[in-house]
Amino acid sequence: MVIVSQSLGLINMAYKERRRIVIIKRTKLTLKILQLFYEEGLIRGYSLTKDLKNIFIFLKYYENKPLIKGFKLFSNARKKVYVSSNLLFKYIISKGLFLLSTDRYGLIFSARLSRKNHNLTKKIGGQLLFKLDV
Amino acid sequence: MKYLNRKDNIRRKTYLTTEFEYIRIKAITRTRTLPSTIRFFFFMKLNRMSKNMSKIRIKNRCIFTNSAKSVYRDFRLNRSALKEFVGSDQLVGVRKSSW
Repeated sequence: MVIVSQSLGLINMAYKERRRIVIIKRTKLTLKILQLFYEEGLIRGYSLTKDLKNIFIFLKYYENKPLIKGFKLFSNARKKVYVSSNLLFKYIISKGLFLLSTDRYGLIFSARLSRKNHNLTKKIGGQLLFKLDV
Repeated sequence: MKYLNRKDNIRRKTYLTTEFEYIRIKAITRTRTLPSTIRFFFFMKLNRMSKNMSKIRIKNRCIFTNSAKSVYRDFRLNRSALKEFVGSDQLVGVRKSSW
């Protein structure tokens, strides 16, 4: 989780400098998160470096403005924040775009989650990782 | 407040291009061996130059909060922004500690 938050910070700084490429460390979690970002259309793409230890991220801009304005982290290495199904669907989902780690679907964006559970029949809760300001 | 950050960026660029010219003219006005008419001519020239060319006008600013007070040079962050970033592990190679 430390590497995830550090790489989010690196992406944040790179957007401030209007860079095209960032290099972050490769772990299982960062690869999964980047795949989700790519499917959602938030980055242009990513690829591994030659020694397979790091990842290149190709950042995306729209009309010379960064797509992602910032991150707000909820969980960190010392403290994990969990949300129940009741709290999640009543209050949190309408507040923005969140990344969650759920028991039923694994890592998933909150917008996708509300589409899967639109009639509120399933009980889904999990760890709240971070919020994206788009 | 974003405007001030952009203004500072422009000042840095003008300082880079006109630094030598500014120092050269200033040095001529300070040398006492030269005749006073020449010194006065260059003094008027110095007055006509933009104040934004001098180094004094440049100010370090935080890139996230745009404030000019207690900005750390290593991170280019304000103290409040630095605390926020370090608390959520977003800076590489920095961690909270006390002794």
